[in-house]
Amino acid sequence: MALFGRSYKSILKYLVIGELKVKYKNRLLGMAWAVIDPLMLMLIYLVLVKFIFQRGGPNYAIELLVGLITYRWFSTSIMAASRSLLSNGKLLQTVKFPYSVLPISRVLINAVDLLVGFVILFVFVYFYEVSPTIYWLWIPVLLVLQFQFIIALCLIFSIVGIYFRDLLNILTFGVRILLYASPILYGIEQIPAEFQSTYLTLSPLSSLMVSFKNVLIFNTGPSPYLLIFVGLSMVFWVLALYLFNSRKNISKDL
Amino acid sequence: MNAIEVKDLGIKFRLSRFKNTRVKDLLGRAMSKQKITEQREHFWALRNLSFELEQGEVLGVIGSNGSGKSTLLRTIGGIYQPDEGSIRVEGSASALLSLGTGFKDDLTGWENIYLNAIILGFTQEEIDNSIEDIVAFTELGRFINEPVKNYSSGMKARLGFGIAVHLRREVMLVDEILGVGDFKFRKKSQEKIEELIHDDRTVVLVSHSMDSIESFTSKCLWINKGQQMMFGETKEVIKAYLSS
Repeated sequence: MALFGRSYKSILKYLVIGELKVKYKNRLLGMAWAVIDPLMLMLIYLVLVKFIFQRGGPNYAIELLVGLITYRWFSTSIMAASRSLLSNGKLLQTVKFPYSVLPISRVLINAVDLLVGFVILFVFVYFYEVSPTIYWLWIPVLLVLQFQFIIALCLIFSIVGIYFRDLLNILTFGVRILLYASPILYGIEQIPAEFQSTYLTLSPLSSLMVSFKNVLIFNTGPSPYLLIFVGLSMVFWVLALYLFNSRKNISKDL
Repeated sequence: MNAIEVKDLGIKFRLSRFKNTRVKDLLGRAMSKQKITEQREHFWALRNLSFELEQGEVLGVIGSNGSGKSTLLRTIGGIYQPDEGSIRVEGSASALLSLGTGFKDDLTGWENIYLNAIILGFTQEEIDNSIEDIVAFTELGRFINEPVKNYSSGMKARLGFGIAVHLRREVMLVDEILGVGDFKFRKKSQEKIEELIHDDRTVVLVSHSMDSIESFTSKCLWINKGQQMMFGETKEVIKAYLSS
């Protein structure tokens, strides 16, 4: 897998630009959907939790938003990547090219929504009068950590999806469960203290979500459990590289 | 110098192990203590192929449907790795397998030329240099700036063909595309192929039309059910093939 070859980069570039054009050109509201989507999601949960259940702290809207946009990057990329090889079977059987560009391009395409989400987030941060702190410098670091985590999973699922077609059905539930199993709609402080360490260990996205909220709103560093997240991504990377190197004849199985 | 060297080439496919297997069957098999691995049957799409092709030669590949012609092209194109024997291709091969594969319906013809050619491994400069020729060749006119989904199938094929013949590799793989579009365009594409062939480029041509094989190729390979029946001068191979 020549990851950083010249032609690799240009294939990736054209795939991403092409997909983005398709994604936004054919809709009346175009790019506006990248703004509307996370806002609507946030409003739904905001009304539900804040006004119906009477829960959530003073900065709940921001907590929700940062969790939802980063989670959405994860879920949409995973879902798109897991069918990326399967749905391009014809192309893979026609042209020889480094096929890992397909799942990776899905992650980059969805990163545009993430960036738009962050713009909205900072508008909210401004209006909620949360002042910037030195801890904000952690945000790009956390995003990079999340990025490589998503890529590793996307590589794995894109291959597994070829051999195990039930994967998509399973993932549909999987990402949904992960939404509720991560501290996105609620804060980590709502988990009983004695279970917190178990929860942070077992729920893969939890340490990342806690860290985003910590550095953005609560003026503290990232959660120490982030190390587990890093370790987990290393395991996924080993698996991903193994799959991509052992499956050279993928086009035969499509 | 040999452009293509194939020695004892074998390509096998795994017959679908799980594709039509359901959990019920798996359980049933587990109960009867049969080993699941028994399912892993192989099918040799190609076997014991050996031939050599010199730089600039044109090879015709003939054989009935399902004999492995397209598998051979894909192997030369580097899409399949040999399971047995070896294959060596001097330079890189580019495929004209099924034209228009990989087009994105919502992008314009122009955008698709770039996307398609980049995936085929050409650089942006190479495409910049040829795009005028490609567009002129396809005769799409202002349709080049329309999304490909509004194209007729003939227009799509023309676009694919235009990309394939203008952006060239050392070895060209051609899979029955001589019948693209209407009469006028077919003549034009025929001329383009002839130009390729006289161009000291190594070409592998798969076709069911004995006329095109006979008029374009110097060497011919006849395969049947994945086995090499005959390799040699085109005239002799065709004679043997037709009398079989």
